Amino acid sequence: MYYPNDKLFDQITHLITALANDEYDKRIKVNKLRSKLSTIGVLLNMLAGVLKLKVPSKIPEYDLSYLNHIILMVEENYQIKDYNTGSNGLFDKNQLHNLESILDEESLNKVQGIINSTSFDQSVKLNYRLNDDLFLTMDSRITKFENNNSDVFILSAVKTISKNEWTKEKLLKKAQHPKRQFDISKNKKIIDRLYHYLMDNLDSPLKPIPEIARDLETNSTVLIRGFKAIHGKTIASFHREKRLEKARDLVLDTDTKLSNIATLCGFGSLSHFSRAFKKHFGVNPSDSR
Amino acid sequence: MIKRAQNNFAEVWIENDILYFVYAPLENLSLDIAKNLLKLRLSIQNNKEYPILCDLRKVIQADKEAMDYLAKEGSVQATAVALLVQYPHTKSTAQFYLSTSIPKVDTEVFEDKLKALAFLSHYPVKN
Repeated sequence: MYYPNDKLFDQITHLITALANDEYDKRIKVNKLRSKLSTIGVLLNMLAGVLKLKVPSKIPEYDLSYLNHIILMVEENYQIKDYNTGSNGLFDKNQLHNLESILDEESLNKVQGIINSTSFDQSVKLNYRLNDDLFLTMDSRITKFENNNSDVFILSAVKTISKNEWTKEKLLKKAQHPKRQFDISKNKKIIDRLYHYLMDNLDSPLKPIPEIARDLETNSTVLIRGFKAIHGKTIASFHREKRLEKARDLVLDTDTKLSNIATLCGFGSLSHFSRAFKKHFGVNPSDSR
Repeated sequence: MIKRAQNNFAEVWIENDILYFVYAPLENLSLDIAKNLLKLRLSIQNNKEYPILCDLRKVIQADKEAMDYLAKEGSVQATAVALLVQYPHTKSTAQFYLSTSIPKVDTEVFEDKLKALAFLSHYPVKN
């Protein structure tokens, strides 16, 4: 038996369609559990998160930094006075009258907070309700538009766009200068093993990559290219970052001596550890307590 | 005396060598919240490793980044984790978490608190 006007059911079908089209950033808004369909919606959201990481070759930001800009001119009462053409692709025209039609409640509160505090120079993640009733989180910024008569604000947001939205020119350029693709699916397991290997060895400096490759019975090229493709950073920078994060947790949450923390996180000396910590976090570890 | 700490997202306390971690009603567990909660937990542990009873029943959903963080970095100073859930919602989401993020310490899902405590009794506190 189907029920008419079942909004959640429609959102689920839209998200399944989006996932089938490699769009992994969209989500269903579930703030209350009304039926088992709510659970299906949440599981689909979680699946989208998993797919986004598991199918990195489909994520445009790994290959291409191409952004779609949304600009809205908004009055203090959330009325939208004007918008750019980029907004037309994501929202219905009848949504583009008021911010309440395109943002969820949490995001509206954030916008209100920024307007009240007048601290406009900060990025904020807002959840936008798209024309298919799914939600997309975008990095956004609000600035005040100088106007003598009334307060007007500019809300701008950016999103990366999926492959099927690339311009013909970009596709042509890519076809003329092909780059051999790294086979993610074939090497995913070994990169997962490398991830665990690194996480299990945060108490020592990074071994040379050929040595790690021998330990994992693979070759250095697979590890170097695969790790960058999946995690978006080099093995060395990832390992260093995780050692410093571990150190920060120990500094902030324990009374362990800094020299012991340096040893626990694989730094040869306290001075080396302090320099690395300051470079990464901007403060000395001794000043963080 | 029972050690206890609380913030907007959860309440934690240690009782009879079990660390109880109870989430407040939460629409979405993000990476920032996960990091905040790990700090809250570590703040009462005094560097000891505890078996953890984690009551997830009021959490609606979690971001993949938050789940991965809790499964890996979030396993620090834990000997084992029993996830207390309710059928159908949190039971489904917790099982999804276990199969996709794979925690570093032994973790199981329970609907019955007593069974969860029985599981944790095999993983005593470590100094």
